[in-house]
Amino acid sequence: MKILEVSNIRKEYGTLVAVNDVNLTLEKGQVVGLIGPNGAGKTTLLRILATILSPTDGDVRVLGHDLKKDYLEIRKCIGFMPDFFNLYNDLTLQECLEFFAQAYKIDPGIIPEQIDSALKFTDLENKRHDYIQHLSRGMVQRLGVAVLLVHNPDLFLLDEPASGLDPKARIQLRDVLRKLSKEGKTIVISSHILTELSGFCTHIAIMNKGKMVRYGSVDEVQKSISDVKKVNISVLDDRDKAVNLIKEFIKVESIVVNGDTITIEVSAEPEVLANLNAHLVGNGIRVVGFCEEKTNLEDLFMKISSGEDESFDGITQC
Amino acid sequence: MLSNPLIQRYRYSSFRKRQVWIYATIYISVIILLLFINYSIYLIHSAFGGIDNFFKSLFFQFITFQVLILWAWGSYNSGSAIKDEVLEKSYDFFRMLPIPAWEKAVGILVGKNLVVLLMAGINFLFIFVFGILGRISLYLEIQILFVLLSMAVLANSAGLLSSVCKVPKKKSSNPIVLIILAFFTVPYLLAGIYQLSESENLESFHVKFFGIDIPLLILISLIALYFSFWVFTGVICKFNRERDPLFTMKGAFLFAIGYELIAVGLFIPYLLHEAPVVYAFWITTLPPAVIVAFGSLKGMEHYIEYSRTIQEKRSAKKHSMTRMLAYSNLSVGLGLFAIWSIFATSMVIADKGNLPANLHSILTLFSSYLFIILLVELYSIYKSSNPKIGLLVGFIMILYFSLPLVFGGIMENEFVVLYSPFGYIANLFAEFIEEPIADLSIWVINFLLCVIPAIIVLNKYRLILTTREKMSSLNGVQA
Repeated sequence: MKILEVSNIRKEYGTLVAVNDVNLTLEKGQVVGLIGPNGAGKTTLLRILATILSPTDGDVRVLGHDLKKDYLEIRKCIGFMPDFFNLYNDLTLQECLEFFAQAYKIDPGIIPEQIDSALKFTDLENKRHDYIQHLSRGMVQRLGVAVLLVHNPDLFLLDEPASGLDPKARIQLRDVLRKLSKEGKTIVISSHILTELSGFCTHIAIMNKGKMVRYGSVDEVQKSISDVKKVNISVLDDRDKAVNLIKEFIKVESIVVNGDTITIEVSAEPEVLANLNAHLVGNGIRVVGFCEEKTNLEDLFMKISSGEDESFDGITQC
Repeated sequence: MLSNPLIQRYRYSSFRKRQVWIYATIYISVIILLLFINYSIYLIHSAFGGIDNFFKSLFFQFITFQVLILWAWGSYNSGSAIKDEVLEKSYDFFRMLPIPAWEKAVGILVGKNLVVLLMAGINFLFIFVFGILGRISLYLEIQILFVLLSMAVLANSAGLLSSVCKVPKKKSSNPIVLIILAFFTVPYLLAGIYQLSESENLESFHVKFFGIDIPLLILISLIALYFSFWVFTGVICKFNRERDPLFTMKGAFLFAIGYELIAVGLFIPYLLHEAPVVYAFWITTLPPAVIVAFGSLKGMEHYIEYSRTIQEKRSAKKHSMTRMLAYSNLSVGLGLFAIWSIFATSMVIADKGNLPANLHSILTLFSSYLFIILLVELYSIYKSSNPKIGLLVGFIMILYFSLPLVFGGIMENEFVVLYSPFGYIANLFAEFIEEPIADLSIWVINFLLCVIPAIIVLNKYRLILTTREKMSSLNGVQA
């Protein structure tokens, strides 16, 4: 089921093109990590999807509703958490959630239940009657998620949800986001803190200079950026012999020895790597560990930021 | 209406025990002080000349109090709602609320003023009682109530509209402006209400509107409600699409027609008097045509969006430019001027004035108007690519308005002054008894001035259309 269809959207601010012909389609249950350097257009894209900004050009459909015509309908089925937000300081959490429940026309009979569930989900039950002004930054961020949960949207749009949080609050928020993804919610989340995204994103969308330069599942995107795999091989003894055996067996891009661990970068299929392992063992090397180190989102991000991958100037759908 | 979520939201924060008692204490203290001071003056100095006048005085003092509460405090509250949302960084959540714009507007106007409305409600009871005791007719009380409420609606809606139009980016509370404003306005307000209290038979003070006698206060209220309607529509428009102009094309025309009708209704009864009523009508109604044109300004973004609509209707491809022109700010401006000139001409005819000479004046004014709206259009389509274009346009306008006056003075030639719109309009009043100036050179020069901005503007429209065409063909190839 298609939750979101974005075709050729473009947003111009005078001479600046903040979003440039972006296309994106989201199925139910996908969790998309939107990454890119500052000024890549992530926030602008999210604000367009959230109906706050209107695109200069292009079409957006959320659950079949046209962004330009049915924006009120779209607002009912999405939940947008902006970056650097706050909520009504003069209200308690309970009052705040009641307000949003009423605004989203939730059946009055189920409002208490929805509020309880949202507070429990975000671990804010014991703060129910506190004023929002007395909450920590991390709690306010979680309250932001609770506000969205009250009307249980089909699509969550989260813009830099962990910015400005301390490590503990970040972990707590990440747990909440993980729970959301486990519940099968469709989420688009932009973040600079990439460890937040790894682990629960099913898809990655990379933006640079207003363009969507990569979009696909995490594996596909990683593969599309580079075929080179990083493999860590831990051996008990005779490292030099192991290094020679590796060099004889396979062409490596680089090889680094650090203590008992030999790290190699190779372009090879899994089968070749398995044979390499067997080759080492067969030649008397006692291998304790042999594992491929996944290219993480930090690496992808760094590649974009440093302009390492020139193909980022083009658009690629993985 | 009370089910409005925003009213509920403001109810939570407005009626907390910790602040309700403060409001209550202040309000009760003011009431007691008013009563105590007035009663002391009445007893000790035997002032007011009788108990009726004592109550009458209280009646008008409570009206003053009501004015301050409903018009000043209320509109301040309404005007600060959006600012509060922005400063509290909750504005995005507010914008995302899936409730219709009118519901948001009503929610703010009522919700933000719950305490004000409560106090005003109690005040109305005092006003009613003191009015009866002061032998003020019920008819006048109703009129005053009507004017208080209609003006309150206007002031509050205007406050809200101003805050929606210019959303503050940072905390910019500047009480000094309010203090200065209060310093200059409150004495006049008090003097006005005092005059009101001194007037005999105020309820029977009527004005003629299209020849019909209407009580002054009722007419003021109705006009206030007319403006309130449009201000409220503007708020809705802004809530729906923040970057849209205040008026749509249809809205601008309807507002202008309504405004002209009100002006005609007020001016028609005085046509037979020996006064420059026709030109007074012109000068009263022409500036709004310019202001509404400003309020309807669409930017480059709207043109780009509209060019897509044109492109989608392939059958109309031949007439792309015509459609673009029909959509443009120029059309709105021309339409507004057309409406104005119809009413202006009608007034001349009703006044049995010199029609050809006056038509010539209208044409001359049109030539100036066209030049101005072309400059404004130049600004609106280039401001996104060149933020300093406004400076240039402003500079040209200043030159256009002032240079003829300066040269007229230097050369001691009154005719040169007429090349400035200010000079021309001033001359209409100076020459009203004789014939209006009918000289082709003024409008010929004005039309010549229009040529360059018109070419630039049309080229920009053409560029938008060709770019759109190229983009569409590119998308077609990609597909």
